[in-house]
Amino acid sequence: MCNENKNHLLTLYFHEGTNKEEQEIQNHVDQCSECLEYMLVLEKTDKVLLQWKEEKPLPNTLDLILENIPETLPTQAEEVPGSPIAPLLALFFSIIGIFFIISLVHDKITILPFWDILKDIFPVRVLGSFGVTAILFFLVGIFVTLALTPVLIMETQSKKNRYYFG
Amino acid sequence: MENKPDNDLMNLIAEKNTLALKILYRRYETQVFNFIHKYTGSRGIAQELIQETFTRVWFASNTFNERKGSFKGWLYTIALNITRNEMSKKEYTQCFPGSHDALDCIKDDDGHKNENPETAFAYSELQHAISNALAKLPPYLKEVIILKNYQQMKFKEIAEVTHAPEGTVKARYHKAVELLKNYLNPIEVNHHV
Repeated sequence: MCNENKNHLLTLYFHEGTNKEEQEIQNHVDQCSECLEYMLVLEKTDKVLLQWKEEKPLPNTLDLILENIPETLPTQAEEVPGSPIAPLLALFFSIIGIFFIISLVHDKITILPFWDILKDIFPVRVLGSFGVTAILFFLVGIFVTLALTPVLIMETQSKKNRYYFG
Repeated sequence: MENKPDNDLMNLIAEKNTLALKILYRRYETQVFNFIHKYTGSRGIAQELIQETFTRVWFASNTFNERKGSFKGWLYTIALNITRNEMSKKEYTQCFPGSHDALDCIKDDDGHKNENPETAFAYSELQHAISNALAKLPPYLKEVIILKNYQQMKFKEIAEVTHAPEGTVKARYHKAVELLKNYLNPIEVNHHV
């Protein structure tokens, strides 16, 4: 197969080139049995596919679309000011939970060997063991999120690709 | 208003003019319906998704920008995205794990039930065979074939709709033809159907 010409064959078959271009490609096809064979494949594929004829949607489709339009607007408008209590409660209890955990472990941090070195540093002195523990929590949270983000993105993408590319 | 170009109608739709939507629908209903029908292999799903497509045209009309591309390209991009999303849902992938033979699960065509039973049966068989062949193609190849052979789009337009470079679209077309050559092999070209 003249691989270089394959795209030109599409140009010729679907008449997407200028007259001059198409004539040049046609001249090549007339001399090349492989390209002629591929043109016949294109033609047969096209003819077979076109035997599945066009159909029309049901006559009431437009009415159904128009029915959806006015219904959707008020529904959306009603949903917007919906109660945000549930996410606020979740946030509140999460914060309480984190503070509870920090209050449990912040004493333990003072018995770690590096605490003796850190405790004389000005910011550590200001923040105290509670503040340092909270910052450590924060840093661990960022680290875990950053570490997992690429994995989650890749997983989402691969799910799409599994369907799309088969 | 019937003769207004697509872009003018889209401006009117952005102002919530339903008559403009009706005209655009009438202009593109058959093309969009057949695109979705051939992609999914199911009239029922196509029926649902064409409604979703034009409903989205209505609500997303403000996002259409004629400087970025044609209305037709924008419309097909919406239809394609809706169809891809629908077909990638679990219920369909469970129907045809490992293949794309959606027809085994969702075949429900009844578009020719009013014809002579013999002709209708023959056509139904033919349609089923073509539909099965298309369903065996991965979506990224199937959409190129449908947009080219049934929607008669230029490769440049297909590139716009699928957001792929034109060369890639052509390469996909060659690959799809190679596969279809085998899948469609038993089907003969019948000029009487």
